[in-house]
This record gives sequence, C-alpha cells and structure tokens, in this order.
Amino acid sequence: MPEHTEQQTMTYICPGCGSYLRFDGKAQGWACDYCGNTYNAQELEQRGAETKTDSYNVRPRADAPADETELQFHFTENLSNSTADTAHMRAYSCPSCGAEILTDDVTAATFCVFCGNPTVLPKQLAGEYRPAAILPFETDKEDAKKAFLQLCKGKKLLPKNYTDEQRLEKITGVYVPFWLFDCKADFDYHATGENVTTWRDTNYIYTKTDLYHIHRAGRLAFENIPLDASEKMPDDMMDALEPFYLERKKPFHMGYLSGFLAEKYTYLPKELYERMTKRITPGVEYKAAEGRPYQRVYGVKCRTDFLSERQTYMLLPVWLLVSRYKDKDYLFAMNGQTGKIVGELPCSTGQSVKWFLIIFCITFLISGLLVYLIGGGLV
Amino acid sequence: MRTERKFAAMLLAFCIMLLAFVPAFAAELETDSAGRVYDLAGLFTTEEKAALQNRAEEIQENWQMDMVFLTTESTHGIEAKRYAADFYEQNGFGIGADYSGIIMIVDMGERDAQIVTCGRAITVFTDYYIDRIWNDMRRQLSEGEYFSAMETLCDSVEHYNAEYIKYQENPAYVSEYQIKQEKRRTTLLFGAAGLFSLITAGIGVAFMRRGSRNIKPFTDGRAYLKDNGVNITVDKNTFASTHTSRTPIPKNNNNNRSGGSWGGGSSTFRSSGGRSFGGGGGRF
Repeated sequence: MPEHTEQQTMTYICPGCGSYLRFDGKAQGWACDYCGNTYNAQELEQRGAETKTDSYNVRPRADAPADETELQFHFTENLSNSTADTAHMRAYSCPSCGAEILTDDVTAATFCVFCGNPTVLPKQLAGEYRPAAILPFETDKEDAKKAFLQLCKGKKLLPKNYTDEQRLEKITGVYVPFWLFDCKADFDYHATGENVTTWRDTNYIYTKTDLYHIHRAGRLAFENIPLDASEKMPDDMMDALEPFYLERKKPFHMGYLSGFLAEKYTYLPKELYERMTKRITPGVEYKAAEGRPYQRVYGVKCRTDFLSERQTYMLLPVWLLVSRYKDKDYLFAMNGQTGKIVGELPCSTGQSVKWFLIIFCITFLISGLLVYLIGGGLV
Repeated sequence: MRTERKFAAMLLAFCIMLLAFVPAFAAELETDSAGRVYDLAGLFTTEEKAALQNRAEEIQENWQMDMVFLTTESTHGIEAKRYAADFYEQNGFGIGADYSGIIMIVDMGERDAQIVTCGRAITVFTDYYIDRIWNDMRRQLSEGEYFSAMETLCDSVEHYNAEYIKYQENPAYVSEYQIKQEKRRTTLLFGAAGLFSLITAGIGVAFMRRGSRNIKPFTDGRAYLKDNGVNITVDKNTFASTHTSRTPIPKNNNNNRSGGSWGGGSSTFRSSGGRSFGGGGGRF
C-alpha cells in the first residue's frame, strides 16, 4: 500500500484586504484579485505579509477520512428596501393559523390562503412594510388551472376523476415575500486525486495508483439568491419554483397588489442566512472541485467562509392552488412569472396495486419466456 | 522402582498396539473366504442369508462388482464406515485392479448403517445416488426390515449399474441426476424470474409514485453565480505518491470433473491401509 504523505502548502495573504495572493509568473510577483494590488517578494517582506500554512494528509482510498465541510458565516445586515407609500394597504390576520395577509384597499381577503380558514379578521398594519421591488404576475388564474391539468396528465397513479375542475377549490395569487441575498464564498479546498492505470503481461495484472494532493482556493460571488421570508410557505416548494427572472422586476407600487394577496415577511435576513448558505454549499464545492483531471477524488476537506453584505426585500408572484381529496388538502404552487408548477399529487392505492400487477405480469411473462427458451431444455 | 516403571511402559505400549489392531483382529476372526454375508448381529434368517449370498454372486457376475453384507453389534469404537472399509480391504474383497465393490455395514450398537464403495463403485455410486438409495433403505432399516433393506440395496445396485452402462455407451443419454439438476436449475431460474419481476414491479411503482411529486430544488447555488463570479487564486496539483501492485492471472484449468453429467461427485475417505473409499449412510 502507498504510504500516507503529509502535504504542506504555504500561501501569502494580501496585506491590503486579507485575501489569498496569486503568484503571477509573468510579473514574477504576487497579485491580489480582489483589491488589485501587486507585490514583489521584498514588498511582502517589508509589509510583513502573513502566510497561511495548511497541512493535508494524502491517503489511499481505503484509509481516506470522510469528506469534511466546515462553514463559517459573516453577516452584515444591509437591507435594501423602498420608501413606498403604504397608506392604501390593508392587513388581515387569520385567527386559525396566525398568518398575516395584506391587500390593497379595493381587494378583500375572504379566506386564509394558507390554512383555508374562511374567516380572516382585519387588523392594524404594524411595523415596516417596504419591499424594494416587486415582480408582477405574468400569468392568470386560467394559466394556473391549465398548468395544474398539465401536471396531472400522464400520472397513472392519480385517483380516477381527480382532474375534475371542481377539485381545485381555491386558486389564489399571492405575492410572497423573499429576501434576495448577495453573498461571497471564500473557499479553501483540499482533496486527494487518484489516477489508476492497469496493464498485464502473461502472468500478472499490474495496477499503478498515483495519488495527488489537490489544493484550490478562491472566491465565488453570488447575487440575488432568493429565500422566502414567509413562515407559512413550504421552503422546499418555494426553492423548487425558481427561477424568477428578476430583470423584469418593478419598483414596488400598491397598484400591483390589486386583485392579489400579499404576505408580510416573518423572517429577517439574519434568520435565513444559514439556510441560504446551506443551499449554495453544494454549488461551492462543485465549483471548487470542477475540472480536475482525476478518475476519483476523495478525502475532501473544504472550508468556506460566507460573507453576505446585501439583502434585498422583494415580492415574488406565486399562484397557490389547493386541491382536496379524501379530506386532505394538497397544496400546489405555480411561479406567477414562468408558469412552472410544483406539488405532490395524491396516489391511489388501487391504481398502485393495479400497476404493480401489470408490470409484474409483463416482466414475468418476458423473463419466463426467456428462461424457457434458454434454460428450460429438458423439462 | 525403575523395573516397575519399565513394566508399566511396556504394558501401555501393548495396550496401544492391541487397540490399533482390534479391527484387524476382528476382521480376521469374522471372515470366511467364499462368503459375502457376515451377519454377526444375527439380523437374517438362514434363508435370507442364502438369498443375499445369491444376490451378491449375481452382482459379481453381472457387473464385476463385489457385494459384501456385514452386520455387527459393535465396531469397537471405530466409525462404522471406516470399520467396513478396513474389513473390506483386509479381507481381500473387491474385483479387478481397483478392487471394485460395495460393502454394506449395519452397526446395531450405534444403529448406524453405511454403504461403502470402492474402485469403480465410487464412480458409479456418486453422493447423489448413495443419497437416493439411502433414503429408500432408511425407513426399512428403522422398521426392522433388514432383509428388505438389503434387497432394496441390491436392486438399486443392479439398476444403477445398468444405467451407468447405458450412459457410457450412448453419448446422448440423460441421467437421472442430470434430469434432477435440470429441474432444479429451471425451478431456480423461474424463481429468479419471479423475484426479478417483483423487484421490477416494486421499483416501477415506486418510480411512478415519485413522479407524482415534483418538488425538487432548482439549483445547488450555481445558477446564482455572478458573471465572472468565479475567482480561483490557488490551483495546485501536487504529486504525492505512487504504488504499483500485481496480481497473478488465474490459470484456466480445464479440469472437467469426471462423472459430471452422470451423477455429480463422490466424497471419499481413506481406510487404515490408505485405500480410497466412497459412500454414505446414516443413523436409522
């Protein structure tokens, strides 16, 4: 077995901004890609530039430790919102689930879109409500119905007659509050790369295993990562509704609320920050590992520092569709801009059994025939 | 004192020698050069013994295979099949250069019966056929029908010898063992097809059920990377180590097991004299 090899890496830290310095072969110096400064060896020494030393054990796959992810968070609250007039805004609260629903003064909220409670009570609008922008609806109720029927199409396990329109009891256009995060991710990625070559002679098969230490570091800049700020909205559904094309956003104006409902945010950015970083961590690790010329990569040790410096409050359009089947409500959400619909359709046990038997019979018929033709010789 | 010790050692050595030669002694005491029936446990009547002797002679004549019946009250602590093998070897039974033949031992002390084969009989009576014969005999033995059991054995010996000749003469012959194996294989294959179909149907329905839920995250974050938002400052690939191993290529030995299509293999053991014996049996 190959021996363990401890790899030491030494990297200069920029005296100006604290980022990693990149060695520029052409200029024979160190360059900082963030603040734009360049240094030669003498300057680095004079300015007392810090160095960062990492150690990483390159081990064969059998001994490699499990992948290790370390996340660090730095958060600066910098809310971007507007000074829009909210004089024509009305607020309602649901006595059943506590949701706060907002409309303009010409739209009446008659039921709670979240729990279906038919009674909602008017209430005094409290606190600040100033979204920086709004993404207006580009689809209507009919589009939502069509999208729902399209979603049901070809679903063999759907209960019979489920697609009757009457089942769509409530279709409501809701402006859902989102915080859009701008975020930087500084990553420091170590891993073991393995390349295996095999060849043979008359007596032996030879296997050559080459191990490499991969070290990558850098910064990824993300913008407008949307996270719904509503406690009532299922997070997985809202994440699945993306993408929203934000270039078509408009400055917030009460007029857009006409005929729609809106919800007031329940979470502040700092409460969503960790969820946001978890959402993008796989993407950071993917980019850090991208393009490696190895057959296998393992023993990943990735440390990422997240830094969010700006959060924008925005209302995004969502159609909520509630369908009732066997005393259970099924919630579907449609992106009010693109028409993408997500949700979970009910599955009928009877249909499941029927399809199980159909697949079983067909497979058994085919495989039984094959057995008969290939192996049934004497019997 | 020294004389006493010497005497004790000699006595011990004598006892060990005596124990080692017990089966040989026993065998020598019990044999008769022409007879093939040694009913020391008294299980057969005189007529039955004569009938068995006749059957043994017929088998010898027709199939060139010796047939010996041995019943005993005790094997002196030796395993019945080894006792029978030693008895067979030390008394010069067997036909031809490979001493072909069968000795059937019924040990009434341990209620253990063994069909022990030698020479060509090992090839003809593989484990499969021994099991078949033993299954027929066991019930008769446990019900005390010792003579019937011996007749069953003789019938089977003749039947399978005849079948073996057919097998040798006709390349297209399909043995009982082969039919059984084919049946087993076909049952297994159909079972596997059934299991495969069950799994396929299960996966199919699970897949369909999964298809009724389309709530999946749109991105792992990469969709929100800014244009030119990737800035790599360190990109090092350092060679750490290399290791070459070699494994021998397995040799393809074309060892066709003899009797593969006739009846599978025979498990064998060695007698005290080093001769190879096969067979099988059990308690009754």
